[in-house]
Amino acid sequence: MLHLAIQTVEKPDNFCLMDDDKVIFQKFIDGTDFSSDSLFSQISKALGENKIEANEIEFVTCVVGPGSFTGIKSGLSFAKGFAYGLKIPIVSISSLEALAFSVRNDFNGDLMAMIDARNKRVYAQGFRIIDSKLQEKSDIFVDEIEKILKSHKKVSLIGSGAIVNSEFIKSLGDYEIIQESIIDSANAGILGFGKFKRKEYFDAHSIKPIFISEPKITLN
Amino acid sequence: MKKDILILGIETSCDDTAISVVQNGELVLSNIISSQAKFHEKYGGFVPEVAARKHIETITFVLDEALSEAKVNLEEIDTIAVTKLPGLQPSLVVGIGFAKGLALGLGIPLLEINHLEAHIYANHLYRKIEDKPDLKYPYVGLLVSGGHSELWLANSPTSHKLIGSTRDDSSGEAFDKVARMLGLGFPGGPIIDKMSQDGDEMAINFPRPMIDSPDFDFSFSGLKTAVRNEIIKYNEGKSETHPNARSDQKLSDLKDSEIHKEIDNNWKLDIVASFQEAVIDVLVSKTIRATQDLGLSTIVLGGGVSANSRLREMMGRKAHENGFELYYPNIEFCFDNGAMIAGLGYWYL
Repeated sequence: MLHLAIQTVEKPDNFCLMDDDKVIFQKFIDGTDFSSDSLFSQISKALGENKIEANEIEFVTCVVGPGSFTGIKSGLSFAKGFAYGLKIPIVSISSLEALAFSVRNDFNGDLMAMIDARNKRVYAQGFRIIDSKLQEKSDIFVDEIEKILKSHKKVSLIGSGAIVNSEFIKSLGDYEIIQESIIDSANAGILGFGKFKRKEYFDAHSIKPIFISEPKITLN
Repeated sequence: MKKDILILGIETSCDDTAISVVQNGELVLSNIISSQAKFHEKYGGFVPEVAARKHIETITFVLDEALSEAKVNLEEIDTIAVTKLPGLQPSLVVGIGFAKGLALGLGIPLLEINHLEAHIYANHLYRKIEDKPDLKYPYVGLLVSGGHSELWLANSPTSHKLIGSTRDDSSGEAFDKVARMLGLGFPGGPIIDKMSQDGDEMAINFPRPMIDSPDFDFSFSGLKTAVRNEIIKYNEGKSETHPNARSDQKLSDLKDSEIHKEIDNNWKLDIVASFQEAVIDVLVSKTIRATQDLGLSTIVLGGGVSANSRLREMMGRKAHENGFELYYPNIEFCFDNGAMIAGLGYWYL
């Protein structure tokens, strides 16, 4: 089963063409342009080079946040348009779940996935990994790092929120920071394939972003 | 027989989610506009990130309606056109991303269209063949909206030249800000237009900024400040203690949204009518002069403020005096809409 997974929530944007849980093609996109500019041309090119027609794609996995507001909007809008045009479903994956899933084979124990939300705040979610199985231990939330770590003493940390703030985190205690911060569309795609098989998907109308933070009220 | 070309136009540059289907660049088969005005009213202006999130939520539903009203299937669409620039970046991202995904999914071309040129082009759109305007190039286009006050020379659908623009606030922005000062609601343009019909436009002689400058540029920031000063002067004469001011605070320290208390309704009607007249005097004067200087004889209006009844009346009067023809879009094509994007897109195929 052919499917497409896209991730634009944090740089570098990247996408995957997949067959079930196998990666056929993956591309990381550099640059600071609107994500959809590059996504459109790169996905179009990748389909052509891999001799895949767009209408052979059976579903799209989209990393829907939390993370960069612009990135979330850009990737989800693209996924909604693509899925609407092809009348196919969209699987929603959180950026934190994709991050934690990336170390499932190399880690055992409690893990806090963190994405930088600026000013020593992070979007975060607790996970437990045992024998390569990922379990959610909390809902997604946004808070100050200091507050989070006060109530989580024995936890390893992963993601841009931990890496960007590593010096500050060291001042708060002896926490293991896993040096992995890229949100990988291949991991999102594998998770997405599992959810698709369990029929945990949305149509283009009902898929929703995960923003967590309220928008800053600045009048135009 | 030549095949009809159906273009789907997507416009999300500001706070309206708008999608249309247009046949052969002019005949509008559908024009769906989902307004967010009520979501932004409480802020007294629109909030870019709120607008963008609403676009994501509504865009597929607006597309459903646009196809349904046009009585066409998605598979019959030949090309997609989307607003590329200018606009609010958070809002543009949604329309562009959606359009690109849709075009890729459908395997059809995507055209990126300039929002401002499309507003001018809106004068060519019609719903029924008997309403087709007999509008010919070249002409001068006055584009007036919440984000823009500009004069354009249009030589053809694909050849537009900017000849003048505002150096600070747009005219629509000035309408919104004056409405905020007087506590009238948002958006300010239609409210002020309606109230002005009962006010005396000669009551207060507001400045006409840049009306005699040799260029075709505008400036409305000073006029807005003049209105604010007039409101403060009115309140100072009326009462020593303004309800929103602390004892140690001058009225001039209050925010725009706080200065409007205790204003007599008749005076409100007069101040908005006088303000509107000053804006329109400048817009009309510069447009007429641009048309004369360029040796042209046709003027078109575009943008949300082109729906203003006094602007249409005064521009019509001055155009007639000068022997010029005046065109303005049907009201549904004045505000941001997908039809103008789809229509102009046809000429870029």
